[in-house]
Amino acid sequence: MIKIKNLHFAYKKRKIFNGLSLSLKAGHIYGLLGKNGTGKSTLLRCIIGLLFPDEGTIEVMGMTPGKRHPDFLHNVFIVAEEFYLPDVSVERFVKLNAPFYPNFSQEQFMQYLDEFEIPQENTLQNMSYGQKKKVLISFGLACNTALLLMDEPTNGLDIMSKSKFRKVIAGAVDENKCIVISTHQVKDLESLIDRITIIDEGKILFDQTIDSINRQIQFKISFDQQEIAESLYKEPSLQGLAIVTANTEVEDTRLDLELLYKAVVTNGDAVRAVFNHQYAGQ
Amino acid sequence: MSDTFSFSRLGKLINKQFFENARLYAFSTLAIVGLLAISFAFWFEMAGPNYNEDGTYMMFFLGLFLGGGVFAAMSFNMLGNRDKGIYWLTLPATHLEKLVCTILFTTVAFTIIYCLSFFLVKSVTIMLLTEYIKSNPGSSYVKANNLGNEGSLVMRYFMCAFIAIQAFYILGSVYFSRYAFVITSVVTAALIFSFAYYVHLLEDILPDNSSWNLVSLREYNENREDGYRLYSISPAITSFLKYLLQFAWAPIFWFITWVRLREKEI
Repeated sequence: MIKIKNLHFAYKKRKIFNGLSLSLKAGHIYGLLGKNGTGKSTLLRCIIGLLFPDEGTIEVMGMTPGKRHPDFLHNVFIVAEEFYLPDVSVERFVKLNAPFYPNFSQEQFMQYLDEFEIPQENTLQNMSYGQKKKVLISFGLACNTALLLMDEPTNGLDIMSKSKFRKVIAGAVDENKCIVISTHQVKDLESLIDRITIIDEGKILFDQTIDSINRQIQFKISFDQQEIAESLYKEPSLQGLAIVTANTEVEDTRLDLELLYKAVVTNGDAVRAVFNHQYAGQ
Repeated sequence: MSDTFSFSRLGKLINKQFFENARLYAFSTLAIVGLLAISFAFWFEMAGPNYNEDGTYMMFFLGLFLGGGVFAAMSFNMLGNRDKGIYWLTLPATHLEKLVCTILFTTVAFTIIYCLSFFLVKSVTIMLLTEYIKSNPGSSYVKANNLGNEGSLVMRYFMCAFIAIQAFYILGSVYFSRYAFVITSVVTAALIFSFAYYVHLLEDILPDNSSWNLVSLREYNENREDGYRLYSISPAITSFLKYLLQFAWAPIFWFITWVRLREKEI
């Protein structure tokens, strides 16, 4: 679905990507994690053709995004972090925009609005930020585009809405669809994404499926000094020391994205070594 | 297939553009009517007691060029704002369709609305003026002379100039994300000044005993029978150049705008 090869991109003199390569396939929900300013949003804008690579290539569904051809654009949708919606009613917004997306489903859209409990009598400008975002997410999902990009989609959503968001997204993905979610609120994506890509300083720091992470990494509370000393990452918690460690005994533990993220950012080489060891052993 | 120009998509774009900005257009129309009413009231006060219709045509062109420039300079102001820019650029339509839609609103629709507003306000003003003249025998109203073909030629030149200037301000709105009207006006003034300076330099270079225009140079020489030597471009090239000068500016500016839109990054 998305093939990025040797991507170089800079804002004037500030280098963002320096030879980034990445491949994303349909049928998955990808979580794009990283610190502020590491280029998550820039990568999404490159993928949808709003920014052009300085070097390297981006191919999405066999097309070059930068050309912004309608055939490409009606198959992708972006829910940007800061977004614009015109001052019209929800009904009118759909009437005016849905005809540009051939796979748009009114039925699905209404279902998502109901799920998010959006009042439809207001115009979009009279809605709160969270409500507007939910309208945009609902519209983006109902467009049934092959690629859906979301930049910090849970920002501005209340706790209930975040939970509904996860439910809605989980139900929306199918084998033909690829959803890429960029966020720094890693907790919001737990149990939703099936592949995690962590970007730092314009490079892919970590890129693994959830299955692979569950097989190779354990997340637990430990009091065992040796285990703590050998851990990939540790931090105090109310129950004891929360650690990230290699899953040598193939135990089932609950994935903690926040801990994983911290482990990768602070001790990336050791975490990657665990996965490399797996491949070497196969 | 859908990557080529589609009239169906253009229709959807026009529909979307109109309804999403209906309030702005309604207020803009009211503003035009209001400003024209103020201008005519001013003319009514200042031009008397012998009113001449010529003055209203001056007002017509001034308002058309000024209002049109302001409106055209706002054409792509959404590209100066990331949120709006993303909304606009990711809409599934070609850059050409988006540009044509914009030209239809900023140039064609604006001209129609402006003309209708102008003639509405003018008709009301003339009606009031007629009543005023009836009760004030010392005052009069003189209609503009019908200039016939010459008049329609002048009108054609003005309209060509208007469309070219509109196209230039549309281009300015892609180049300058802020203060597009002011910056484009400054650029226009700088270009006019540069052209005037260039003409002045040419006059310095050319012999004193000569007169010239765009396509010919006449050098006066008393020794010659006809009194001058004429250098000129062939009539075919002359008419081609005149045609270009009249009609080519707007398409050139539109083409550059289209190229800039394709290159636009947000």
